[in-house]
Amino acid sequence: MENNEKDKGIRILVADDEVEFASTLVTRLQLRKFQARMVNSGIDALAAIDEEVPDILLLDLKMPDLDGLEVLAKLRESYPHLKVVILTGHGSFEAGREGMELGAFDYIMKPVDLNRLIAIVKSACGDSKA
Amino acid sequence: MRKLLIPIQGDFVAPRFDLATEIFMARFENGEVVGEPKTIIMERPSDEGLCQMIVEEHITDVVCGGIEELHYNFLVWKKVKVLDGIIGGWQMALEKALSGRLQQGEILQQNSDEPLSL
Repeated sequence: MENNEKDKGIRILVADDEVEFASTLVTRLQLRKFQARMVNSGIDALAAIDEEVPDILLLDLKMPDLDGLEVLAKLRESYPHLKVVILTGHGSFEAGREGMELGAFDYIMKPVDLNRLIAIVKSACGDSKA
Repeated sequence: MRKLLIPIQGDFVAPRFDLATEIFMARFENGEVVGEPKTIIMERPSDEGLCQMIVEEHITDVVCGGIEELHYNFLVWKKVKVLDGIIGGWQMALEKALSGRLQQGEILQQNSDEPLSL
């Protein structure tokens, strides 16, 4: 569970309408020294990204107003280099694959294995900084 | 090899099994954790979902706070050893569980290995 120094600067935005899930995930990521914050809708996600572009967006697919795929499509136009990791519900990996076709870096199923998620985040950041 | 699961909330054992969204999981043998422990974050609290996870992950030992009798009985029927009613930090609960010193209903002090006397 060691944190690499360079991971401390990684800014993560969690966009998920399940407030308890999102806040728990943000807390755990902050404990691992990532700079994590959350929003709870698709529109708020776009607004938060306009305000400050994160290194990684963890994007839930099922959200009120704009769903994850709609958010992803909009982001492809305005922030084509933003790394997006899709969060999908149990058993809905098809949606995750659809997200990847729209340019998402990867997807992860809920319940989320934190170590696996962090490995994906590091991999995405490594790619973007390479 | 055995496999332990603790529903947690921040630094503590989650007070209620049915409201936990963070799960700590580790394999252990001879009082030592084997391999990398896992932290799982559930989409939403669900006692049924947690019981399903315990069965699917082949968990042998559960350390938790309050748990409904229905779920306690289910897990015991599934041959899972359940130490419930634990109050305190999850890391201390883990250490004591691994060494076989954790008792059902134990209240763990923050900075001491000794249980509180009520």
